[in-house]
Amino acid sequence: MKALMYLIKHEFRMEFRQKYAIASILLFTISTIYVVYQAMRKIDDSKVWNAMLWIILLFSAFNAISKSFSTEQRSLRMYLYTTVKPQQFVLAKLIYNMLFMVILGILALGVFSLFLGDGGLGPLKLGSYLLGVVMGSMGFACLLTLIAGIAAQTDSGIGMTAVLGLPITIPLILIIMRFTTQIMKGIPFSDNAENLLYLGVLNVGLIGLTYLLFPYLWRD
Amino acid sequence: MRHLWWKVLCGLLLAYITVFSLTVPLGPGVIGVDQAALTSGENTRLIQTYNAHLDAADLQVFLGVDDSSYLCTEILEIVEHDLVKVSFTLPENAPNKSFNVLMNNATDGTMFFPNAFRYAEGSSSSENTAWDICTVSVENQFNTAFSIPFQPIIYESIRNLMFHVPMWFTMFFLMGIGLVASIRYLAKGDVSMDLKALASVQVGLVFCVLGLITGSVWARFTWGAWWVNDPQLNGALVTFLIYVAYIILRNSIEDDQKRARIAAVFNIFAFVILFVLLMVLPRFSESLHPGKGGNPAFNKYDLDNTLRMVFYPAVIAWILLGYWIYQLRLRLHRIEKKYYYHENV
Amino acid sequence: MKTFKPLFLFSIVMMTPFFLSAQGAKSVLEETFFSSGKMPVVLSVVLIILLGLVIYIALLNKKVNKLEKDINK
Repeated sequence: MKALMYLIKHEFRMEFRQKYAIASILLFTISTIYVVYQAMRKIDDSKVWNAMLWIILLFSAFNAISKSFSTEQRSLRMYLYTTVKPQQFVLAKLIYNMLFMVILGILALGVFSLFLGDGGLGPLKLGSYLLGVVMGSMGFACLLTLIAGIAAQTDSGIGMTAVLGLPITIPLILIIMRFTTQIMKGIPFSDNAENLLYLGVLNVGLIGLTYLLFPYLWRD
Repeated sequence: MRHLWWKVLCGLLLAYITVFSLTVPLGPGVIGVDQAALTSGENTRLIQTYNAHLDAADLQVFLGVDDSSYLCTEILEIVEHDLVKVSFTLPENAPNKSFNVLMNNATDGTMFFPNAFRYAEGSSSSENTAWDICTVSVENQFNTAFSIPFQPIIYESIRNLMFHVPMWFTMFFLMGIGLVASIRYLAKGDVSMDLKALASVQVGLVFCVLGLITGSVWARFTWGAWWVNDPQLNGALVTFLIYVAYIILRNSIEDDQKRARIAAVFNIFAFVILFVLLMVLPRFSESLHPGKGGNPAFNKYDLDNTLRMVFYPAVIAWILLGYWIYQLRLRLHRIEKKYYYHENV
Repeated sequence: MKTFKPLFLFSIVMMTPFFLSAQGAKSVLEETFFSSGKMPVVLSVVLIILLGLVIYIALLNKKVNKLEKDINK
């Protein structure tokens, strides 16, 4: 537990030391939103609004998480390999990625609605939509951490994340889209909570799977 | 020539299902009517059937008013053995509704066609309608002839059940072999397990592609489009993409040991997510596939003895064929490994 | 084998208008496939499966040829 806390702290310290990496992720997300703004100005159709937001979030997630294994140097990895268990290491990564993705997701939602309007969401539905963004972002983090780990091991490097990850994100995207479109339609939360439950179960399952499988990636 | 028996069985079953599913006649059924819209008063309509043996002596045609009452029709003329001209009278104040057609005769049994006619010129309330209800009770008769069940719209293409559907069973069987091999590889580090996983995914992908293409052709001529947004189809496509990604992943790693290890990790992860997808998808969207989302199901007919006699053997036959091809692929991999890398696996 | 490939591509290209005409109410395509109770659909499905398996076996054959050549060298 102590080692885990240390690793999470280490993860944060490492990432924040490389401010340019975080800045590049933010720049990617914000400039994508700006490009969409230039193309569409204001989106009134809630369906298009929803789809655009999630496409941006999806690609931001790919962009952010695919970097998460490439920033470490090889020597550092060797050092970590001898000192900590891979399970602890991947849990720290997962927690860091989840927190980072949640912050990025909320930020993207904010900037997106600033530029493109709220797509007819209104303040009332915003709460449950925000919940969807939080859970969805966590889902991206759970799903893509292992994939990024796999991609980092290949010879073609982090470019593989998109190839391996895109087909795999489809179930997650389907559940999220279902949840958020139902919010947009004004379906009461109690009827919609089922989808959130699916999302939660999927996330927990993915974390478990990553925890079990990651040690096999680390046997260099 | 060890294990010859199941290969012989595979060949025999394939021959059996092909002959059976292409020669057994399709059961009788109603295809449609010449004009669906009805007018108040007397209507004369032609009803087209398929594979039926209509005969003036014992043919009865009814329009279903509701579940238990039927409107009588008068049979004017049996134009051909499968085409009949009937006339019937709608009461003056009939409500707007659609009518099912039921046809009875001794050789064909009861033929049913839902929503054959619709009436749209009347009132919306169904009270005070003086229906000319038949006094003859309509009894369901069963077609005793040996035949494949008739389904509206699908018609003869129901025979595809023995060719298109087992492709998916075979694919899942092979991908299952791949999953088990990957798990065993991670547990033991046995190189032969890695080759098994690779070979099963390669052959599984062949069946996946065949399933996609045949499904697309079948969809075009029943639903009218090469591709429709249907959970089954989406699931199939995602399966295809995931396993293509698996092959790409393998090709992007040089080191043998590392490749085997990482590919196994990805295979397990991907299979679990695929499983989730196939569980979740059907709940989310209406399916056009028979038996799902309120479609005319095969269910009623899955238990039909004629279909059962050929569908289950078909699944077994195609799975055996898939397994056979998989074994050939695997042996080729082994020989290559032995010759090029001097590794005995 | 070499001449076969362009021929195949050419025939695909030539068939495109045929497929595109499928947009109409009842195209040539539908006329063909709806005849005799949609039996041609079954026929094409069976043919696709057979052809697909034959193509796969041909690919395997090619691999075996290569291996054989290397072993006999």
